[in-house]
Amino acid sequence: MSALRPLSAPAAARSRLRSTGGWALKQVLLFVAAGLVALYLLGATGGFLFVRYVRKNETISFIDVALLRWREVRRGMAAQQFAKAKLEWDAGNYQVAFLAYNFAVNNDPDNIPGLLEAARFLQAAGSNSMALTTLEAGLARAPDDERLIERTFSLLNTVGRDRRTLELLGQRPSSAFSGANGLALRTFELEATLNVGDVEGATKLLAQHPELARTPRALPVVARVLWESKQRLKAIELLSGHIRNRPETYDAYAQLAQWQLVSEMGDDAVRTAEKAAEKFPKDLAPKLLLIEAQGMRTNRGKEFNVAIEAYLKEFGSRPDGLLQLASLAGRRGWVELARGLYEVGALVQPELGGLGFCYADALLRQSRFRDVLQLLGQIEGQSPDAGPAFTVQLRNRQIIATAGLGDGPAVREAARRLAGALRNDGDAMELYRRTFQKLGITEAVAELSGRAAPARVAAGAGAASTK
Amino acid sequence: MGLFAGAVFAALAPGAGLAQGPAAAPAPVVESRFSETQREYVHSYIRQSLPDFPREFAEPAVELFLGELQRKFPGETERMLSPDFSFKKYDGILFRVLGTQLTGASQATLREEVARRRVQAALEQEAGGKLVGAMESRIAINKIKTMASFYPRRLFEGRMDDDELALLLKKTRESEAPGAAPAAPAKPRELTASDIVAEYGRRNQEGAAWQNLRALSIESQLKTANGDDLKIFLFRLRPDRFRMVIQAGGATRFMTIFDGSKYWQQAPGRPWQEIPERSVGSSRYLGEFVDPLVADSGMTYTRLPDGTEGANKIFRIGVRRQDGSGYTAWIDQTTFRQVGRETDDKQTVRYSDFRSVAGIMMAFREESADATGKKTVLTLVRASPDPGLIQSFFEPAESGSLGFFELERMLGRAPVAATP
Repeated sequence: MSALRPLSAPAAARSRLRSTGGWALKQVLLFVAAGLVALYLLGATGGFLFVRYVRKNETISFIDVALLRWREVRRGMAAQQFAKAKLEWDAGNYQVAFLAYNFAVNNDPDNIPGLLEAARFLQAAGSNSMALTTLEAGLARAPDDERLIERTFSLLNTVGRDRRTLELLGQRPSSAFSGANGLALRTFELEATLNVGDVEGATKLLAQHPELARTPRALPVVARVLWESKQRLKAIELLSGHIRNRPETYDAYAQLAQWQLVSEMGDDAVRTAEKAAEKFPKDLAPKLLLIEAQGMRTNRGKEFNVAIEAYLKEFGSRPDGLLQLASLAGRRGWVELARGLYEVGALVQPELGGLGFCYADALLRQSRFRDVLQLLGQIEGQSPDAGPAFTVQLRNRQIIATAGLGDGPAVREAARRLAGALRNDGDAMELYRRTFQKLGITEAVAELSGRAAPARVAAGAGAASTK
Repeated sequence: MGLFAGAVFAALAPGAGLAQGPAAAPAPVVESRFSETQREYVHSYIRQSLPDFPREFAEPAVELFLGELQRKFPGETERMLSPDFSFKKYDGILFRVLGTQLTGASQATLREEVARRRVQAALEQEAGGKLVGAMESRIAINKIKTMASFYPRRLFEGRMDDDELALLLKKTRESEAPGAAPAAPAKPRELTASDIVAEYGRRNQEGAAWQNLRALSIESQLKTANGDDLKIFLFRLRPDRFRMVIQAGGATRFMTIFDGSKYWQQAPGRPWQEIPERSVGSSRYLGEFVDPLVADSGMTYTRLPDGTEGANKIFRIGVRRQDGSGYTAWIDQTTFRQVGRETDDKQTVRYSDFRSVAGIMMAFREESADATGKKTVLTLVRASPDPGLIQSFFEPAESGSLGFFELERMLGRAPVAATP
């Protein structure tokens, strides 16, 4: 009964206050909650409308924004930008495409097909270095992605950044080489090692990983290692077998035919070239390979002329048809053919610098260095506005010709100018430096390395032109 | 034949226009202060705006542009890659720095296009961002070209700042305002032959275009009085080398060359044969690399009584070579183009369709009539300045199995060679 005893007045007042205060608090909390919900809905709606209509992202859903799936939102926006970038690229609007790819890659750096496409775009726009930056960034996020591995290391090795390949591969844990991509990684490592001129290292690597010799995609590189380590017949056999099993890559035919020619296996080289021409009937390169093989086998006999005639009938009207043949004539030192093509080309082409360079190459092969320098001087005199690409071609030949004459100061001067033309292209500078190193033109190597040139005149430079 | 071909080259007359500085290689690029992304972005804009602009010349320009943008509009280089950045606002700066990179004779057309784009950008800015058509900017450029020569020169070479350009555009508008006095070209009352030849040389080339030219190749079509169609290729190299190739029915009939001391001729299936100078005829004047009217020496000029050609008055200038041969050049009194010539054997040639090639004014059409009134028409198809000609091209090649005629036959353009 004591529980039913009426409250004293102050206690009753306190109780009333408590019950009134609790109700009010509940009301306040209710209002706050409702306000927050309203704000959330407003914010989500605003965000959705912004992304959907201002950023014109048609794939975004309200739920993505409402549930704060930012990653999804960004991916959606990126996907749209990737699509837009491709359209703009196809339409030739490089600036808009560049912006769209930039935006898309930043918003969705895990979109590997997108990254690969952006890299392709950058390559097409002439920026291998930006393409590589993009690919390497992607590879850092997805180090085991097969597509990224293939594109990144292929490009690195193609543009002469073989040392970067080795550096990136060196940063990988050893477990990476035993995984699914292990063989691909080892193949790139082997190729890069060989490209930097470390034949001994490549041979050692191959001995440590004999499984590479059983891996079809690695066989052309393995054959190169054998060739460079003077196991030439083995190299030819290996590449021949590879072509029989995988006849779809032209580069292997070209490599094999060249090795066969060097090994005085002219008949085999002709057969290889004929097979390539059969396999790639519409292409110009296999026909040139056949001309080269016939020229070497028959010492430019009747079959050689027949092959040239067939080539000219098929490709003579193409803008690059004459130039490609002239380039071969230059490489092989066929002066008469190079000159004849220059004369014929003069009637159909407004610009003859390229054909002139091919003629100069043919003269170089015949060690007619003074004629070459005179010819190059005449072409240079007519090209005051030439860009770096032309200048590089010119200086390269000047270096070889002046080295052939044993004119050290002239070699250094031409090499200095070559370095000037290549100032924005470190990859090409490295490739040229390596080439001159192989040719033994030390002054040029020194200029391209940025070191003081040695006073000595290039040793063996005379032989350079015939290599 | 030689007469016609000779006439072609006599028509290679210098033309009016811009003086031009020596050609220069692109400015060297120092280590960039800007990211590759920023530079590529500007490159992509250039590529879109001016697809023919060579990238190697754009590189230093991009660096200059970004530097100027950063200096004049701090923060804009950072904002550049944001979607709301408007590149158009800075077109003026960009096209000006692009203009500074184009200094070569062969870049005259591109240089003018860059200047036109800059004028268009300036006009758009004046119009408060309203789009201005290419036509308006072209009209403005044409007006600027009629002003004193330093105006277009400074504009085309990117040496005119924005304020100066704004004033210039104002001036072009004032000149068309009603009541504005037309700019009358100053015309001397009595000109000597030397005055006329000097003015001809000034008006028919940009700066020292003739002096800068090292070689020239020309492809032309000749319609003879008998109705035959021939193709003539002419290659010329300083100081006096030439090679002329005559084709009919798509096949070469014969070639003539001058190697600096001897003349040679070759026909299909035959070796090169030396020919005596006397049998070369007027073809020997093909060796005159520079138009006789702008030659530094070896020519004498006489002013003959003026004449008319159609409705236009012409100066008649007697041109004599050191060997006594010569012709009379007809020079239009208003334009100072060589509109015709008459030779000692009463042949007359009329030149028309003047076009600028590497800064040199050339007639792309010449109609020739001999003393009996038979007419031939020569039309230039293509003229290529400094194409990369080499000395040995003007020397007879050793006979071999893969010479010019054999390769031409292989290409399927020529009939089987005649039996020697």
